[in-house]
Amino acid sequence: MKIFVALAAVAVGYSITASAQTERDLDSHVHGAANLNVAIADSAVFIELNTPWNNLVGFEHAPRTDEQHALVDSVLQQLKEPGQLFVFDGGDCRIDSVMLENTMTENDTHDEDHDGEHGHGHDDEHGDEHDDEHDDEHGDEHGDEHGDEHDDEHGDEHGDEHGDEHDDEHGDEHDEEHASEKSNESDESSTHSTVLATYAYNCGEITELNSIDLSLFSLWPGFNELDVQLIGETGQTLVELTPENTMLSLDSVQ
Amino acid sequence: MISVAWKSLRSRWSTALLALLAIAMSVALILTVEKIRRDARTSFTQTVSGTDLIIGARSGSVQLLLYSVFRIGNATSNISWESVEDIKSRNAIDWVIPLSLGDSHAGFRVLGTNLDYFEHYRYADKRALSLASGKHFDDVFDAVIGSEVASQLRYEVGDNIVVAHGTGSVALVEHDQQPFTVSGILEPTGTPVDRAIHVSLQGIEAMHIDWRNGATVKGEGTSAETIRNMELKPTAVTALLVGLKSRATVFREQRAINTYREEPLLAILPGVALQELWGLVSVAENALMIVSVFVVIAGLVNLMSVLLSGLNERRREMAVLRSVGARPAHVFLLLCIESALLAIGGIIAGLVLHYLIVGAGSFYLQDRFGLAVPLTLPQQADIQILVGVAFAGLIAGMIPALQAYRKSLADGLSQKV
Repeated sequence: MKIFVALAAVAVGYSITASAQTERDLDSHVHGAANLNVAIADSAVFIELNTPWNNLVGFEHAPRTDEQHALVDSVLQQLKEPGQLFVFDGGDCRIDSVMLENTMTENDTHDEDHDGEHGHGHDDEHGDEHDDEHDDEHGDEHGDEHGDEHDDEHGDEHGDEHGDEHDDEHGDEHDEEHASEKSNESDESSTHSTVLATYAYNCGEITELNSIDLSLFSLWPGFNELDVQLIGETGQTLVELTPENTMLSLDSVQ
Repeated sequence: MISVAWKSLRSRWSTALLALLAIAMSVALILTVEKIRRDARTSFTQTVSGTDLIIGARSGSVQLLLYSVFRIGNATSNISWESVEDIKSRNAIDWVIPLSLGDSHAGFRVLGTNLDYFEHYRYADKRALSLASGKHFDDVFDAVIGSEVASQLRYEVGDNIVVAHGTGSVALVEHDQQPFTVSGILEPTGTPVDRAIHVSLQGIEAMHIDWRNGATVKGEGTSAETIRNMELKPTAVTALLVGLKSRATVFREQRAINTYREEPLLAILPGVALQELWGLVSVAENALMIVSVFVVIAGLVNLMSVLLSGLNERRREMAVLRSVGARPAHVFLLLCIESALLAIGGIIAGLVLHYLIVGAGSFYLQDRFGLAVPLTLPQQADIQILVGVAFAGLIAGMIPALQAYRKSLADGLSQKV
């Protein structure tokens, strides 16, 4: 049984040993590729960027050195300021809210934001909150106990030694309430980690909005291709963007 | 000048006609390929409109789209009713249309659904389904049939139909204890809806009541009256069409369903899945297009060879033209006009041929594949193709014309008769 738990923990990651029926259920995870979702509804534009950390910083484990910490923090900061990421052509659009959901560094403390309806107000706090938590709590909780081995052997360790502890800590608040919401976001943290950035814009002249230019490719050379799911008034479509073609035309759905 | 060219062509009408026919056929081919490609896309795109998400068992997005909406292929597995209830109860969801497939009648698919289907399903430009006659189903044994089912099988409201287990046109087991009654006939839509027989989810359950033991025994079926009094609760459906209250929540709902723990489900955006499908199909389309282009080139090469071989026979004619005062430029122009006349004639004949092919073939396509290929005026892409062919024809004609220009006089006079 112990072995099984250990295997399951390695397979599906860190914090789900408590509930879960389809335990070994992993999302696909392709380095270099990422998803961008763009929805235009009424006078608002919603953009979601879902990418493996590898595209942004070149690694997906918890940052180990100060440099890696600094890199992750600077990327998080960049993601929080979408002015550089998305350049709107027309539409008179202003950023309304930003929200980051990050599965790196075993941060299972951000789940309070995962209920079905995300409001807009809490986003900034969330980002900050998350950074703090990651540094403080995480360091205290795991760092002291396990030191360096933690990152490498993380999966086995948790399965064996800390299965119970985690069930107690997170089982109730986390798994049951949020199981259906956030499985793919936290489950892969032992081997892969992703970040989901959500941006909401309000536009004065939504009908004047022609296109969005993305500077992801130039900011982070790790991106090779971006699959964009685009939905708007007149339909849904799929666009593939590459470093050579970074302009997302909205004509087909406006 | 044109009249001279015209008369010159008429004097050699058989070879000219063959050249014209070759161009006509190649033009008809390229136009037809282009039209079917375009109409197939429109037909697919128009089938589902206003649906934000399609949910099915976890498989591929293209596969889910094909079996749920276009009734091509079969589902890998079903969605349990518990999950359906779960999904229905989510806040962001406005309406849910359950689809239950797997039975057939005379080769037409039977679709188990509920009244939400008639209320929320949209096709083409957000058009709702409307009844040509009769009413929606309100009894367990009522069926609403698509326009094509009605016209092909000559059904009218009030007729009884027997539904068969499985989707083959020859079914091994017929649910003949529980005949359904046609309660309504839908207006034609040009989508797979025309080829479906819609019954309630309870109806689907009802026809399987006697099947539950593994097989039916003739004459021992449960009577319709008994079934009506039973509580029929569906256990599973094949797919769900979902409408959301706000478009902004589409991606979040999609993620939530794709990571739903209780059952492996897949939520797709129909428009996005269609786009993926086009990505796959475009390889075949490009191959067809390349073949068509080569056929056009072959037609033009044929035109050139007709003109070139004609030159040999016409050395004297050219010489006579020169001797009566025509300048080399006139000879050049004459041959150019001839080839242009042939090319344009070929294009016009090709258009006519194209419309004949489409007119004759559209019934077959509609019948076999439910693909609507209406006769339409040439689109911009068609006109571009036609202009391209005309230009290529002109260039093909210029090569023999240049040759004639260079040697018209000397050649013709030195010829021994």
